[in-house]
Amino acid sequence: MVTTRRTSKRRFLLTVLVLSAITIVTIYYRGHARSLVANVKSVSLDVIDPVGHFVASIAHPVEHFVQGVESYGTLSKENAKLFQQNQQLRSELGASALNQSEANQLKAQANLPYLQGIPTLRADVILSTPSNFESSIVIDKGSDSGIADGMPVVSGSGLVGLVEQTANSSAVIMLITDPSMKIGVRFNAGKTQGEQVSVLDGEGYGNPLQAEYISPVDILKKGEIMFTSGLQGGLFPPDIPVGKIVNISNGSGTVTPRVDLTPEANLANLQYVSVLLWEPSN
Amino acid sequence: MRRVPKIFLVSILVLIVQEALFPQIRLFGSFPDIFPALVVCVAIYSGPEHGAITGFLIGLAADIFLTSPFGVSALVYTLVGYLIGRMAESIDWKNSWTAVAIICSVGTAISGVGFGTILLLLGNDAIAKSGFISSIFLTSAFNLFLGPLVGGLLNRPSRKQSNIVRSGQMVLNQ
Repeated sequence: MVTTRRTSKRRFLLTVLVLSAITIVTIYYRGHARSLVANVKSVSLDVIDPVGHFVASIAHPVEHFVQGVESYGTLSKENAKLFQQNQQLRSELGASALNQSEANQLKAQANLPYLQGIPTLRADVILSTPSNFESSIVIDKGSDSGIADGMPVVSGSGLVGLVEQTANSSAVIMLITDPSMKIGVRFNAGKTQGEQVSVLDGEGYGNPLQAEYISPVDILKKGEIMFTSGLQGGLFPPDIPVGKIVNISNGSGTVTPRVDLTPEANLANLQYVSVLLWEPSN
Repeated sequence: MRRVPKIFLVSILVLIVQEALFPQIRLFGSFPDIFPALVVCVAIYSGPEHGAITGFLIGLAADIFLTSPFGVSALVYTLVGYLIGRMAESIDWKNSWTAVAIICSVGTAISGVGFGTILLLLGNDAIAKSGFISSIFLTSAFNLFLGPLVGGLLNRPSRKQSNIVRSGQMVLNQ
């Protein structure tokens, strides 16, 4: 009698929990109360933000140690090569006497020239995604600093992702390698064939981006960089470097070639990013 | 009921370590996911009710940081916590670290497959592109080692219990 009562109590508990979870998924998925769920997520992110700062300060040295162990061999060779290059550059610098105007030009190049005057906000990366099935990071700036959902995020060398979820003092950024990310790009600028457009797909962390809708007649070269297209209604402003072509091969069972690109931004080691205070037109 | 504060404290610790530390330490492209191991260990040591409730709450906590639909992890972990807890009642896994390690690994694989299946059913076919199978395999392998550590934290006797055992042994020796 006692066992039966206990079993039915357990089943009741399981039913309540499963139904609650299914209800939450349904509400979120159908969008009826997505803003409510977004508010809960936002508050939770604000709570975890100081903890994230603290743990990140402990985690970064661990991360650097693991990276160092993984690439010890290549680092030694690279170090020797860089030392040699440094010596060569020092001697060249002394000979050429770089003047002030050239130095200003270099500074301007380093100052994200592709942004065309779009205001930016620098943010620190405090957390990475806690899932192997998604690519996202958390930054230490949020709606209090003027950040809104959908704003593009860049690093010094190219596109990083876009703001997916905003809290008061933090925001979740979906990286361009996330499997659900699609980016409109252009390539072949200035060639006789004319500028072409394509869509880049994220293929998960560590995997190259893949270009879709590439015509077999498009002439592509390894090393060519694809930029955001900035077409009307696009998620990103134009001319931000996205990725560099690393592989072109014949797609299996299709006439369109398979084109792989590595992101221009170093997504494996993001410490700081810049959020573009720019929102899509619609 | 006595176990609830301990489960709560271990869950907070696991949450902090998972959210802030593990994503920084990638091995072979994946990093450890200790949440399934926590749910499995709670189910083994505290039964299906605690397993299901911990699974639900830790799943919701995990979903806060994910861009996938809210509640999917909660659903998967609730079911895993309950099922492992029911099985642990009829098979004695508590006293073998090897059994705990293997069940944590299997529970992680079941969670991963369940998570992917629900996302696919919801029309999110992007999950299939994310190195899904290799990620499940690697996280299961990580939890083969991390599972017993979480189990050790949950099953560690309190000072009061240790004193009782020690005084019992002294009585037996006399």
